[in-house]
Amino acid sequence: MNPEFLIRLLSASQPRRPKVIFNCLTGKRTVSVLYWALRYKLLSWLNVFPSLQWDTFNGAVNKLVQDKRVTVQSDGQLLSNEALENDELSELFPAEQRQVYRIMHVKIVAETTLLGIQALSHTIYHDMGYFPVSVSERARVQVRRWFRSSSFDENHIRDLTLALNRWLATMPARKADVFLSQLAGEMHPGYTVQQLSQALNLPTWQIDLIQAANLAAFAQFCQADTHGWRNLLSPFMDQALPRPVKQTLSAVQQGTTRTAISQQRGLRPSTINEHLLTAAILLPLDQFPYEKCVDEATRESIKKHQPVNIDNWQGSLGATPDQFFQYRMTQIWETKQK
Amino acid sequence: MSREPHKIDNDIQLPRHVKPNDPRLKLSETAVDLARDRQAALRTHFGLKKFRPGQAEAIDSLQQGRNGLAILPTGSGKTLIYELTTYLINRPCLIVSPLLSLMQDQVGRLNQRGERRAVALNSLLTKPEKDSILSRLQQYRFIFISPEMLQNEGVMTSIQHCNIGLLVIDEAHCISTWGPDFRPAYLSLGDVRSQLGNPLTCVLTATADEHVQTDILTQLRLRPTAARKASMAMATDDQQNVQVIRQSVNRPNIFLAMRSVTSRKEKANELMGLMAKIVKPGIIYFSSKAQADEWAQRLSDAGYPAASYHAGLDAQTRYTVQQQFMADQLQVVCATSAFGMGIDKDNIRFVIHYHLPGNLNDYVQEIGRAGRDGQQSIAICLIAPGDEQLPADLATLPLPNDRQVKTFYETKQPALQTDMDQLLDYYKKHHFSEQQLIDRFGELRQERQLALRKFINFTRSPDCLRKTLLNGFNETSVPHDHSCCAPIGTEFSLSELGLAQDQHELQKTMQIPGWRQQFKALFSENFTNSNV
Ligand SMILES: [Zn+2]
Repeated sequence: MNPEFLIRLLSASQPRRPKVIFNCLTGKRTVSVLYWALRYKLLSWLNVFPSLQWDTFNGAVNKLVQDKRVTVQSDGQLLSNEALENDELSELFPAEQRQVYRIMHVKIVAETTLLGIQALSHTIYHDMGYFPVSVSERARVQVRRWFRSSSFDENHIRDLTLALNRWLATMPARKADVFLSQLAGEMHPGYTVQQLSQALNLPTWQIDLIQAANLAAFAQFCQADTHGWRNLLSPFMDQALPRPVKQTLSAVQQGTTRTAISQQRGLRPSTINEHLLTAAILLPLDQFPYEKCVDEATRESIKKHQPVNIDNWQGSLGATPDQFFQYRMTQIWETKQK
Repeated sequence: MSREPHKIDNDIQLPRHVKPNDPRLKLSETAVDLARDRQAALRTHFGLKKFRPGQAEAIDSLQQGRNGLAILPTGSGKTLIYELTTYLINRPCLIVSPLLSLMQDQVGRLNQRGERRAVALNSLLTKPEKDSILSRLQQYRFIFISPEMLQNEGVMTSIQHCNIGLLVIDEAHCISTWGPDFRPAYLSLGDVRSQLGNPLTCVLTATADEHVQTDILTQLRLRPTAARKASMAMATDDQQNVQVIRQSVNRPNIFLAMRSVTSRKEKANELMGLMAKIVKPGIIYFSSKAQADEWAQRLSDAGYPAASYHAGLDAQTRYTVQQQFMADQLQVVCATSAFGMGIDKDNIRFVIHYHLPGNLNDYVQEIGRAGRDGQQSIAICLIAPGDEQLPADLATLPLPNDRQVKTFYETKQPALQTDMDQLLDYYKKHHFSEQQLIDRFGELRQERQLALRKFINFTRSPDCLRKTLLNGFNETSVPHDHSCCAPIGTEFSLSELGLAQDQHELQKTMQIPGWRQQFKALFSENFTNSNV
C-alpha cells in the first residue's frame, strides 16, 4: 500500500484507528468496523482492497510516522499532519464506483474479466492456441460457462464488442486507455502499471486506483448490459445486503418487533440488533426505518446528554444491550443527518 | 516376417518387465518405425521438424518402454519429451512438479498449443475446485500435481482410476535429501510409483551430479546405473531398465566473454556502452530485485524498451512482460537469477551477468537462454573487484544456520510454516541429532563455497573459457577459435560476431496508444465500429 494513498484516508482533525481503516479496506463487516468507517467517512472504501496484508498496511503507516507526516496518539490513533484534499481520490475513483466493491467478489471478478476478454479476443482471431493469463481454476470454469451460455457466432460477438465500445466511449478517455492497457489478447500483450505510470505521467498508486475504479465500472456495465456481458460476472456479484440482514430488515419494515423476530428465527437478540445496525449503516438514510428501532423522543433524550461531536459521545457503562442499540442507532442517524 | 515373443526385431530387445502383449508395443516395430512415429507426432502436435539435442534420445528410450533419466538444461525442451511421448502411448500422463508457478505455466503452454486437456492439481485450488477436477480427472491427458497433493488419499484413488501411462518427475533433484531444494514429499514418490503399478517413468532434472543422480534413482527404486559422460552420453542397462541421457553443456553458438572493470561505476558505464551497440533482444541478470528494477528504469529512460522480471512482481505484470518480450515490444529484460522465466524465446542474442551467479551450473542454465535458434549469440560477465562476495552471501543464505537448527529442535511443537521448517522437521522425524544436522549444513555451505570458488576461478581463467567450462563438467573440450571466447583481459568485437547494431531507434518512453487503437488490436478491425 502506497503511503501517499494512505495519508489521504487520514484526517487532520479526526483521530482514526489504523485497524479500522485496514479492516474497512479488506472488507471485515463487523458492526464496529462499519460504524467507525462511517464516522471516518471511509465507508465507501469497504472491501476495495480485500487482499491487502496487515504488514504492508502497517509498513505504510510506519513510513508516514517516520516521515513525520502522521502523528500517533497515545491511544494508537492516527492524525494526519497534512490536510490533503480528498477530491483527488474522488476524481480517480468516484465514491459510487467504490461502493460496487461492497457487493463484488473482487479477485474472481478481476480474473474472470481478464480471461473472458482474452478468450473473446482470441476467438475473434480464430486462435484457440494462446497462452492464457494466469488465473484461478474458478475463473477458468466461469469463462468456459460464459462461452457456453451463447453461440459466440459473428453476430453475438458483434453485439458484445459494440456494447463494450459504446460503454468505453462514455468513460473519460484516459480511464478507458488504462482499462484496455490492462487487458491482454491477440495482437495486444497489454501494458504494465509501471509503463502506464510513465506514459501517463501519474504515480503508480494512482494508476492502481484508476484500475480499481475501472474494474467496478466494468462490473456495473456488465450487470446492466443486455447483450451477453451480464453472464460473465453475475455469479460473483452479491446483493447490497446479506440475506439474513435483509430478512430481519423486511420483518421490521412489516412491523414485527425485534423480540418476535428473534423468537421466530431462533436467533439471539444481539444478532438481530447487529443485522439492523448493519443495514442502517449501509443503507441511505431514507431507506431504513429508524422510527421502528429508536423513536424520536428516545433519540432526542440521548442526544441532549451528549456533546456536539458524535465521536466524543459516551455510552453509559451500565447500559443494557437494548439501550446500547438505541444509542448506536441514534449516532448513525445523527451522522447521516449531516 | 516372424518374430519371437521376446524379441521384436534385431534392434530392440524387450526389457524384462515389459510383457509381450503390452499395447505400447503395437505402436512400432523397428527402430526406424519408432523414429518415424515420433517424427510424425512432432509435426502433427507441435508443428516442428527437428528435435532439439537430447529430445529424440529420451523419447526413443521411453518408446522402447525404458524409464529415462534426462539431465537437460532448463529451456532445452524437456517438456516436449513427455508431451510427445504421451501422444505416442495414448494414455494420460502424470507430472509431479514442485513449483506452483511453473505448473500453471506448463498448463498455459499446453493450452497455447491447443491442448485443453491439461490441469494442475495443487494447493492453490479451493476445495470445490479440487473436487470438481477430481470428478472428471479421467478426461485429462496431462495432470500436473504437487508432491504434497499426492499424499492425499482421495487424490491418489482418483489418479489410480486414470490408467496413467507415463509418470514424469520434474525437477527431480528435489528428491535428493541433501540438496538445497529437497522436498520431503518427494520421498514418497517411490511408493506413488508402485501404487500406480510402476508405469513408464521419465525423470527430468537440469542439475544432477553423481551424488544427486544416485539419490534420485534409489528413491524411485530404479537402481542406479553408471553414466558415461560425453557430449551426448547414454548409459543403457536393460536389467535395471533406466536410461540416462545427459546433454552436453557446450553451446557452440554462444560466444563466452569475461569483462573486468575497476569499479562499480565503471561497470554501470560498461553496461550502458554495451547497450548502445549490441544486437537485441537480450537478458541481463542481477542479484537483487531492487537492482533489476532500477536498471530496467535506467535503460528505459535511456531509450531501450526494458522491463524487470522477478518473483516480486504480481502474476499479471509478469504475464505482460513475458508477452511484450515475446512480441519484441521489449528488447531487454532485467531479471534476477533466482527466478526462472516461463518463456521460451528463441532469438535472445545476449545474456549479460551484471552480478555473478553462484556456480558453474547456474551460469550454464542462465546463458543457455541465449541463441536457442542456433544463431550467433553472446554471454558476457561484467566483473568488478569484490564481486565474488555477493554470490558468496547468497549461496549460504537459504540454508538453516546453527542457531536456526537449535531453535527448531528446542521448540516442542514448531509451526511448519516455511520450507526450511519442513526440511528441519523431516530430519528431526528421521532421528537426526541436532549436531548431525548442524554438521551436515556446515558441509553443504562449504560445498557451495567450493562451487563458487570454482566458478570465480573460471571467470578469471586466462585459458579458453569453453575448455575450462567443459572440463568443469567432465566433458572433453573443443578447439578454441575466433568465435569461441574472450577470457578476462582479452578483447572481443561485437561486429566480428555479427552482434553489433550501429543505429538505434531510441524511444524515450513506451508509447501507449489510445483505447480505440488498443480496442482495434484486441478485437480486430472487423469488430471495431468506428462510428460509435
Ligand atoms: Zn575459447
